[in-house]
Amino acid sequence: MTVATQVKQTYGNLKGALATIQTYQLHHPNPETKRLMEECNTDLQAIIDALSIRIKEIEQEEQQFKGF
Amino acid sequence: MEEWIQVILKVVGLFIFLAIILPIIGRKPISAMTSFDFISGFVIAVLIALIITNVVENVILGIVALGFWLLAIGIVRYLIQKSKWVHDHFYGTEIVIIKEGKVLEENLHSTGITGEELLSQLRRKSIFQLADVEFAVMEANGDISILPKREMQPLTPKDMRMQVSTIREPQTVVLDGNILDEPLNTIGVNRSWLKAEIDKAGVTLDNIFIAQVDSMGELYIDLFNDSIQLPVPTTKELLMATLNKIEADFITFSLQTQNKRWKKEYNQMALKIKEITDKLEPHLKT
Repeated sequence: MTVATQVKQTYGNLKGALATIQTYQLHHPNPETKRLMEECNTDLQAIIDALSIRIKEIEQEEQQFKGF
Repeated sequence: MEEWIQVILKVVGLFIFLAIILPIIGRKPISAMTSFDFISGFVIAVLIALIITNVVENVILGIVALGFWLLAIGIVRYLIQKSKWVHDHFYGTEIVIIKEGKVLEENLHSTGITGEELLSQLRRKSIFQLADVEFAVMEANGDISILPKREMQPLTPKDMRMQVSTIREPQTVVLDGNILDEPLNTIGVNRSWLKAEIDKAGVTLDNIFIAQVDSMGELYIDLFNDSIQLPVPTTKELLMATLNKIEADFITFSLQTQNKRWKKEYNQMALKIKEITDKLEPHLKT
């Protein structure tokens, strides 16, 4: 597996985790927990954004792995 | 009027009267009754029986007696709620039997139970050794309530200094193959959500005996057909595993990359993910 695919896989996992936490956040009865999950979501989203920048960089450096 | 007609009329009349008055008296179970409740109820029963069987020859007198007896109970009940003194007088106060692990013999005798009985009561509460009891009182109705020594109390998450998630009572959303709409509304989902979840489990609605939704929105299903194995919901465990894997991935990336800036960035991301995992752990593990 090339570095590019590895990074992309992690990116996918991150998005999956984000979606799961979002569902929990919608269902959870306790407002405090809801807020905590919201914070986690914001943090995760920031990481996802940063990682997508990295993916673009990798693709520019190594054109043959393009396709995301 | 013939005598038997009179009896029938009295039975019917007093029966209806009793049916009306009983729910007003309250919903205390018989085991929680104090001797006052018991005796006052007993007097009502005897009065009614006497009136019906013509032992009380003047029916009017009997009914007047019954009415005033009920009135007296009503007044006492009202006063009991208003005044602590009246309450203590009629219902008695609780009596301390064991304090700091020592039996208070005088109090025990005043309650009228023997040492044997005390031990038997303790055994019924799974306490076989007197030394395990810190404090015990006899309630007004004769029950014994026990506070075990601190080290004998059940272990709770608080003792372990564990953080736990708050939970809401689970809602039963399917019973006997029928969808219950009211509980669905309480958790804020609709029928199409439920149908999608049932589809995901791969069963049909008419095969479901009971389905419950927990506070995280996960569905637990019990089928009529017990030979079918249903997957246990593992989304929480999966999420924990995914988060841990992502953290490991970032650490690997930071080791692999030659890029100075991204080495640092990846490290920070790994730390951030760790932080998120720690925050969510109490809610995912419990």
